[in-house]
Amino acid sequence: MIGYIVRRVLAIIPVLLVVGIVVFMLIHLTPGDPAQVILGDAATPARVKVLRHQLGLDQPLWKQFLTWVEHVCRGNLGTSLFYQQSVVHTVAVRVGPTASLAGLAFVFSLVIAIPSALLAVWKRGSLLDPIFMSGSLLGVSMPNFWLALMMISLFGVKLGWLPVSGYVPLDQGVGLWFSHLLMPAFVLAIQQAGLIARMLRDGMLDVLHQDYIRTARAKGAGERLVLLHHAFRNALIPTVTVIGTSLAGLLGGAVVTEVVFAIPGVGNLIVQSIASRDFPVLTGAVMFVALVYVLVNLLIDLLYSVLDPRVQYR
Amino acid sequence: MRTTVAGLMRRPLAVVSLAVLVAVVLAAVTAPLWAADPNRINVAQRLVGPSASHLLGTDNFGRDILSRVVTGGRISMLIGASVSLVALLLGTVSGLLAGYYRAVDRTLSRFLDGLMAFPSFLLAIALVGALGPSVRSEILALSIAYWPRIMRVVRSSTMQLREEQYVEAARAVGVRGPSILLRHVLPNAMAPIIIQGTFVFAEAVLLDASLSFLGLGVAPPAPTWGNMLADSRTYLSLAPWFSIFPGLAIVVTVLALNMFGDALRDQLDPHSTRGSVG
Amino acid sequence: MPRLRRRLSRTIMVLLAVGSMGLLAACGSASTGTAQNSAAGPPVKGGTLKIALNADPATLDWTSTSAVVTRAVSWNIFEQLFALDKNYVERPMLAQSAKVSPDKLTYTIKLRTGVKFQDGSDFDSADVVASLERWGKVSGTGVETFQHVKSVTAEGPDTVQIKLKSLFGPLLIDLADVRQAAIMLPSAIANAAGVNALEDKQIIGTGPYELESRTPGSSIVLKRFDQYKSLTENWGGLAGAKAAYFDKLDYQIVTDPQVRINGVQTGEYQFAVNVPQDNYDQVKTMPTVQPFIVDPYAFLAFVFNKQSGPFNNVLLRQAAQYASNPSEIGAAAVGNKALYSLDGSIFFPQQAALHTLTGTSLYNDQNIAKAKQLVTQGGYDGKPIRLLTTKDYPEFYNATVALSSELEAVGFKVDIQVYDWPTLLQRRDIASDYDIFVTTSSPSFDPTSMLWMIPGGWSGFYTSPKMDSLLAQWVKTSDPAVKTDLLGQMNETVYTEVPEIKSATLSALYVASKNLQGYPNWMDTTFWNAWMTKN
Repeated sequence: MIGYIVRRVLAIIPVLLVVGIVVFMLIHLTPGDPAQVILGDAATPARVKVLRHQLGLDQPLWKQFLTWVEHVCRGNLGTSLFYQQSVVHTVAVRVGPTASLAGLAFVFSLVIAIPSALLAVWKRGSLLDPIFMSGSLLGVSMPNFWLALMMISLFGVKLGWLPVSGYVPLDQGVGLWFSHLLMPAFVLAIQQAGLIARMLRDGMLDVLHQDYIRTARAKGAGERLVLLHHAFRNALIPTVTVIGTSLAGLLGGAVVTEVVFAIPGVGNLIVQSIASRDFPVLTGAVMFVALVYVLVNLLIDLLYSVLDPRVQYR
Repeated sequence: MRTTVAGLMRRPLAVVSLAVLVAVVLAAVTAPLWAADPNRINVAQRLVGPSASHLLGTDNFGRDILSRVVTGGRISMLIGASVSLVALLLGTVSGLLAGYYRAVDRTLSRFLDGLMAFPSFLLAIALVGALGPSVRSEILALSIAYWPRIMRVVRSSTMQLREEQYVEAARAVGVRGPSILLRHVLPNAMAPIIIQGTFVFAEAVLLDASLSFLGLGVAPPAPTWGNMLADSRTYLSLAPWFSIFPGLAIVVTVLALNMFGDALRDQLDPHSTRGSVG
Repeated sequence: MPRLRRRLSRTIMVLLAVGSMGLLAACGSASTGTAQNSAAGPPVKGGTLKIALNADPATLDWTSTSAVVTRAVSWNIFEQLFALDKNYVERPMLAQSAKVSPDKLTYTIKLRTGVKFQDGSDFDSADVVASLERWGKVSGTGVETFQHVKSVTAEGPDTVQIKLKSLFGPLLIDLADVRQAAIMLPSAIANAAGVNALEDKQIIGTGPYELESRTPGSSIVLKRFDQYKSLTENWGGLAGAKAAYFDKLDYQIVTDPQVRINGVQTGEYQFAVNVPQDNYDQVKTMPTVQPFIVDPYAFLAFVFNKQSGPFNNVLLRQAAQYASNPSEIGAAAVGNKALYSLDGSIFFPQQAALHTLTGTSLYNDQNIAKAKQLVTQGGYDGKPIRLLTTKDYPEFYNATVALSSELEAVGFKVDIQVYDWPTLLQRRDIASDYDIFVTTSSPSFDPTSMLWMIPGGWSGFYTSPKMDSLLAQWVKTSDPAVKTDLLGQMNETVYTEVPEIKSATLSALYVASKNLQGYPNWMDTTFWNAWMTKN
């Protein structure tokens, strides 16, 4: 087991390198000059040239790439072209908001998904099941910025119940933190909730056809016990997988959500750094997201072996 | 095949969603015959609400929203369909090879592990940024973004199937790899592939909208539902119809695609818990 | 965020005219503000003003970037020797007076005494020399100006002498220019920074607010500089008396325009810059919100690639100019009639000393027949015109769409190419990449800093012996009559050589809480002399 974990962790390194190289290449193929962006519309070509030189952008691409690789190998992700501060620091201060948002959204999606899946399976065959089915699909079928804007105009502007945008760190008060995150987390959650709920429901329906459930029923176990004790437990395994996938959705969806709600998180940083062609920050931020993603998937794989002792890792 | 169709036709949700999809495609294809010019500008008629002359109102250039919604459907559906086709093609070929030949698996999977480590949305953002804003580059970017996911599904089906007795039997009598893959493995792996295809289709339509929102989507003046919705966001309270109709078009179409995909999965693969949206 | 910055820069110029020229009365919102001020009683000290800013500045160093969002924040922190007043005329700010020698080659500048930097040190002539030398290397305007400068020397602690190599009339207005401004820094910082942009810890000025904290991508917080020495003159703009009533200015970066407006409506912010102009009518009806029209803001322009392609031919440029209708383009760009206007002069009407309508008869002179004839005469080959635009600034895109249908009406084929802002910035300097790009020009304060009009100075590959000679005459003269004549000729040259199609003048829309009082509404937001009343 330990050997397995070590091997998996080591395997992350080449994956991250691939990610870094792909992003580095992509962004450098993109037209647009960071020096021009920094200096503004009225900059003279001479000034732009000077700044390009200062930032090392006038060197051939292969040289820039080698410098970058060399720095990365020494654990230095470089300096933001735009803010002139270290990439690690630039990304690090954005982690808190994104973690808060994704974490809360994840909790919300479970809170929505688990009861509705149970309800749907319990009432299967009745009208509730198809209603639940289409309902859960509705969340997945809506552009989330659209949902966000409509919620802002309803709950933020018309009713005035919730702040329309911004982020307050946890240490400035749990209430403020929560009220600012409630809408964005819900918007983000609604999409994942549909996904998770459907996986759970399908998983449980599958299990209900299994022999041991029939045995349990034959022994006189009530429906509620069968559902909660047997079906739900066993449906958890495929669901844990979906949760891994859903994390990708959360991190991806966080980009748009953070932009709409002006949350200074990693997603917002990614969009900003594309718009300002801040190559080092973009590369660093995407590598960070990839790292989280890979680590969580590793954790999920390990979780399997806990949930299902039949799964063995060597 | 015939039983699949017949089975689907017994599922009300499948019938409804298929009807919706057919209607959307028909409307989009026939639009030039009956709808007004979607790019005709009339500044005097900016942001006019629904009326007899403009059934769904006008946008900020005074263009007819109805004809833009139906015309936008063409490009949005084109993007969705092309992305799912290209991604399926890439994913199926690479998945078959990787599932069947260990050597291919080792190299290809390493690379795709890297790609998989991006949430597909981020990968699409980076790719569209690099390739520039056109329908073609968006199709390419989204296809590459979804490729690893489909490959993973195909690869795992192939790995299961290659251990099946009939495949081993074929191999034993000297049938070559490529023809085993085409004749024996592919037909049996079709179900999950098609199901993934419908979900990718649906997601691509949504992703187009999100990319447009971030200013990275298909370049206008060609309307897509995504860029219409993105353009309408500053008029949300001023001219709600501008936002609501393209939004509805997306929701209805994507919902129909997802429901159809679901029905297809229940029909083809009743015990599967695989497949995902989102 | 680059978009934001860009927008800000355009915004910058805006507000000048307001006070003395009676412009205030012309824009409804502003006059409302004035009326309330008198009702609101004397200024109230205290409180934090939360401002929703559209973009995150790369740096607060006002010398190193021309980005509007930078100056909108940092001119609360820094000051110049000379500063623009509300009518865009330079006034002594950290300078006390300037004496020009009879040959006009030596400027002796007396400095104000007792002025302190925000790090506690005293402002003196050594700081001026170091700051000006840095400006002469870092700023576009500074580099231009220093081509005419022989030396900058300290003559005692409170006197500085600038010696010129040749006559250069615009010296003082350049020192007051808000684009990459000649800010005064402690000499140690100016020397340490050199050509690099100032780091946050080097953001030390003499202004009424100082930098408290900055979180990139999220917020910039300024606090009152308690030792600020204010002038007493009521000059407006960046000059004269500045009273910092707010304890803090808290700039929040909010990139979505709808969210900025919503935030002011719900009271999360008390001020929002650059909200979509289409919201004007709606904002006027909101009980807790007041609109501010920023005018002048910028004029729309379509710049030709004059080096290669069809618009290398001046006849085809004239054809396009005849095809276009600024009023239709203005309507498409911002929607509301109250937020665009038509004026042919290269300077804005509020810039009384520079504005003239001589030579502008070809402005707003749509003539389809003539345009068609010129298209034929110019030998247009039918290849689609590549029109570069961006959606990052909706008004750019909207204007482009309107222009393209006008061009098509006279026989051009048009291919609209939409890119994000950084891509457009790069492409417009590559002659093989485009035929026309869209932009806006915020006010300049002298013809020599009017980038788009200076041959060879900016994107678009403009060459013009005629304009070169007009500009050369301009820097040498100080005779008002000659100046007026030159300005008229510059107008005329712009409309006959058509380096760009000058189109509608746009206003920007800013919104604020009704409790904001005394807001000067000058260019890209200044917040001294403004205060909040409690509900």
